[in-house]
Parts: sequence; C-alpha cells; structure tokens
Amino acid sequence: MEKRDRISCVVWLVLSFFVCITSLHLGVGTLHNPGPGFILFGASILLAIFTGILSGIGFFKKTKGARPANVWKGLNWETNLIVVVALIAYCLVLRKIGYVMTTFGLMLVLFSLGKMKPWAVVLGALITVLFSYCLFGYFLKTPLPRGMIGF
Amino acid sequence: MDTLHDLLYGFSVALQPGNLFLVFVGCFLGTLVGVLPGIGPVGAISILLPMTFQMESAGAIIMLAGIYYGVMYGGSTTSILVNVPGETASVVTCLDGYRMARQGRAGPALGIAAFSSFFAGTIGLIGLQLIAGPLATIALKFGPPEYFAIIVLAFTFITFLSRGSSLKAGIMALVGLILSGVGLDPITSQQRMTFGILNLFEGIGVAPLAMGLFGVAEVFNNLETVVFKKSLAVKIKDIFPTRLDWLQAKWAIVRGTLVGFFLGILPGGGPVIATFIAYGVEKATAKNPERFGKGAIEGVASSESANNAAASTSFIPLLTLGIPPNVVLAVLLGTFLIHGVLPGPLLIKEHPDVFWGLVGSMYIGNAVLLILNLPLIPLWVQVLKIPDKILYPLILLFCLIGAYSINNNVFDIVVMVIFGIVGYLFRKTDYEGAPLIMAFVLGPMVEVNLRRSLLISQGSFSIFFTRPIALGALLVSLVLVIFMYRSFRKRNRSDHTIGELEKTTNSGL
Repeated sequence: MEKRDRISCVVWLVLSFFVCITSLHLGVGTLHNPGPGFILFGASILLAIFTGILSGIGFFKKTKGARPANVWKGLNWETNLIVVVALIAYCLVLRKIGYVMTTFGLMLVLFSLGKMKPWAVVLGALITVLFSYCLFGYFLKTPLPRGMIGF
Repeated sequence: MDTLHDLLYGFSVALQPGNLFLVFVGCFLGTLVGVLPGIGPVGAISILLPMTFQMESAGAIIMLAGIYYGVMYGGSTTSILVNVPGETASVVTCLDGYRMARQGRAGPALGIAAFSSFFAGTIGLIGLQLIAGPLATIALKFGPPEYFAIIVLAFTFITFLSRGSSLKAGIMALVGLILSGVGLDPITSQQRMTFGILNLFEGIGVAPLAMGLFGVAEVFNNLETVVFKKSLAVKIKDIFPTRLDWLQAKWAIVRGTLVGFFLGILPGGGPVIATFIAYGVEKATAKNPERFGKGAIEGVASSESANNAAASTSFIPLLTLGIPPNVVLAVLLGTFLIHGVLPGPLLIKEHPDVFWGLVGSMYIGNAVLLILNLPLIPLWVQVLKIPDKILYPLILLFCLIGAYSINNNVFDIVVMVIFGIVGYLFRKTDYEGAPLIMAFVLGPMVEVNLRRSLLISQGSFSIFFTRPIALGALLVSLVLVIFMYRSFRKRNRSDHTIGELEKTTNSGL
C-alpha cells in the first residue's frame, strides 16, 4: 500500500469517527422518524466500510515489485506553499487594509513567482488591481472591502 | 404544434437584446475557457456565478449554459493545433486531430470539428425540446421514493463511470454527502457541524467549494510544474472539408451524435465519457481501424459530435427532474437555486421563460459558436500564447473576487482556499473532485427524500421495492455494483498474475 493511500485512509477513518459521534449527538432517530443525524450516521458508517475495504485491498494486494512513483518528485511545490501563505495573509488583512492595497500585495507575490523583472511585477500588479477594481467595484458594483485606507 | 409555439416563445426571450448579448458572452467565454488549458467549465461557471446575481434569472442561466456548451467547441481548437486539450472532453480529438494538423490538414480538421459540433448540438437540442415536456409530465408523478432511488442510481453511475478507482470515487461521494450536511437540518432546522460559526448556518456554498476544488487546485497544480508551451507551427488553410472528407465523416457524425445523445441523459455520463465511447464505436465499426490515431477524420468527427450532443441532452435530467447528470450541471443547478428557480417537473409550467429561453438560446448559441470558431481561429491561437506566469495569478484573482462577491464575505474566500488545498491534495492521492461536488449538490435531496419516504412508509424500506420506478432504479444500481465488483476482481487477478510472473522471472535470474 502506498504511503499516500495510507495517510488518506487514516484521514477518512478520523472523519468517519468524528461524523459518527456528531450524528449520535444530533440524534439518529428511528426508522419511523429519522433524526437530523440519520443520513450523517449512515454516511459515516459507509465511509468507514469503504476506507476499510480500500486499506484492506492495499494491504493484501501483491505489488508488482516496482516502487510507487513519488508524486512530489521534480515538482516546485515550494511555490504552492508561498501562494498558500500569501492567500492566508490575504484573508486575514483584506477587511482591515482594504481591497486595493491587499490585492496589490498579493499580485506582487504571485507575479514575482513567475520570475518576471521587478518593474514588470510592479506594473503588472498595478494594472491588475486597477482593472479589477474598476470592473468589479465600479461597473459591477461589488462592495469590495474598503479597509482603513478607504479603498 | 405546441412545441413549435413554445420554441418560438423561447426564441422571443433569447432574442431580446440583453439575452442575445449574454448568449454571445457565454459562448465567447466558453470558447475561451475551452481554448485555455487549466481552467474547465466548472471553475469558469463558479467564478462567473457571482457576476450574475444582478441579472434576471433567464439571462444568468442563458449565459452560464453558453459557457458549458461553448467549452465543447473551444476545446477542439487546441487539441487539433497543439495537441493540448483545453478541456477533458477534447482529449480524444487530439488523437486524430493533431495528426491531421501535422499532415497539413489542420483546416479540414477544425472545419469538420465545428460542423459536426453544430450538427450534433442541434440534434441534441431537438431531443431536449421533444423529450423534456413528456418526461416532466411523468416526473410529476414521482414521489420521495422515486427521487431517492434515481439519485442513488446517479451516485452509482458516477462511481461506475469514474476515471480512477471506483472505491475512491465512492469515498469522495460520501465526503460530499457529509459536507452537504453542514448547516441547518432541512426538516428540523437543528444546527449540524457548524461549530457555532454563524457563516456555516446556511451550509457550505457550492460556488466556493467548486472554485476551490477545480479553480484554485488547478492553479496550484500548474504553478508547481514548469510548462513549456508548444510552438504553433501548423498553418491553417481550407477550413471547409472536401467532398471526400464529408463522405468519410458523415456516418461518424451520426453515430457520435447518437452515442452522445444517450450518454448525455445518463446520470454520471456527459460529454467526457461520450467522446471515449463514440471513438471506440467508430474504431470498432471502421473498415480500416488502423487509420485511427494516424489522422482519420472520422476520429475527430465522432468525438466532437459526441461531446456536443451530450452537452445538449445532459440538460434533460436537470431541467425535468432537477437532478444534474454531471458536475458542471450540478454547479449550474446551484445557479438556478440562487436565482430562485427550482428545476424539476414544474419548471416548464412555472418558468417557461427560463426553460424555453434556454432552449432558444442554445439554438442561437450553436450558430454563434460556429461563427466564433471558424473565422476567429487565429485569435484563439493568440490566446494560447498568454504565458502561465500571467494567466494563473489572474485566474486566482478572479477566484478570490468571485468567492468574495457571493456574500461579500471573506469567509467564502477562506472556504475556497481550504478546498483549493484539499483539492490539490486529492489530485496527489488520485481522488476525483467530481463525485464530491455531485454528492454535495444532491446530498440535501437524498436526505429529504429518504427521510420523507421513511415517514410515509412508517419506517419500512419496502416502499422502495413496491413502486416500479424506484425498484427499477435500485435494480440498475445493483447491477452496476455487481459489474464494478466483477471488473475489480478481474483487474486484481491480472495484477496478481503479473506479480507472480515477475517474481518467477526475478528468482530465475
């Protein structure tokens, strides 16, 4: 069984356990009068069974001898990590700082990941922010967060 | 006569200047999304969904539906010219389309793709307008047990037709079902898995979920790989196929249309599966099957007609039963609901403007797409040259604004980012997002109909076995499960044999 499948099976088992407990708290009800936890209980049990079968197959299946491919090998996954951190920061400060400044900062990060020249990064971020602000904030009347700066 | 009258009414709705403009916008964006590898129709519809909030329901649905069937046209262009399918439904077109382009026949390949798409899309639409009415009348007699059984059948089909492991698809469907349970209970209004978070009282939104799983996850997937775009060295001339091309392709178009027509209606089916099956059928019935994969025009014609016919007929179960047959229409169902339109047996009666307007707009859209796709091919080729380092940050920004503008709430962005990360990890572990979204959308329907059925029958499951439609749907589900089990056993046995053979060979060495 591949490591990634082992991890996913553990995640599904934890999820099914959590949902099962939650559904019992909510009240499964009876067949005559199913409660709010009825479907969740059924889904959690089925999830546990499916995960059990998946892990059982992986455990007993004869491997062909070849090592499983490393899905992370040769990939620039650090870029994604930077994007995730930038997105989390974006969510945290969007309301406080406002759309224009926060999005400008985010676009600076995203464009600089593409190894563009510094002036191109700044210009690209500026154009993107202004264009998106005009399109959504002005034409489509989306109330974008204004923040402490006011825009 | 009534149908013709209704269709004329549909045209009168679709031809209103605002709606006509939206047909054009939808088709244009659909072609653009089809041309651009990376973002598919699910992501595109989810991103653009918030923009439709201020539109009238008919206009919004007309535009978003245009994106769906427009993608089928656009995807063929890049498949033929650069061997890069812009959308999954165009993968098969690469096999012969790109070979034709390499042989200097890009023009006829693009031409036959466009014309067969137009023909199949139109036939699909005729089917939609003829079948929808009678099916809706029958569906009026459906009760909770029938709906529950049909949705179970849809779940089973989704698992059966999934590209990877059926077991993993089943797990995804269950996770989707669990996620759909977040929020207030549909019958008692009791809080479920909300953790006291006010934003979760109404449940997780389908748009942030779909944008995360399909839009943001796709961006993550592309950011980590260095993509070298292929140079567009092919020259395009004579886009009108020759007489010989037509003779070779005509039956492929008819067969592709028929396959797409029926697979589009099937729950879990849709354009992607239809292209693979149509291509297989064409190869099996060909006099010289060895020509396939080497530039056979029938290969392009069959797959393109299949995906367009399927795109049209897949609206039948959504509009008449309220059950989306594939993930794109599951997101579109969300659009209907947001605009206060409930698809189902009463749609034609209660919202004739939406139903017939949509049908009329699809006829017009097919013609618009033919115009967009043939003379504007050079423009789409230029679009392909946009560097990824510019394209993906822009897609991400559109996702962020799209998620925010649903409720003007940062919480939706958080949900989208979380599911973006989850979707990215799903791809790394070979789990598909489509069954999750389908189950998420159908989850509340499953729950309500199961609980109502049990209330009606006073706790007896016999209600599902004493009603013919429910029994039929459950029996088909059972047959599919048996098929899945048998194919799994067969695959496992062949794996075991290979393992044993390798062991013997290694010990011999």
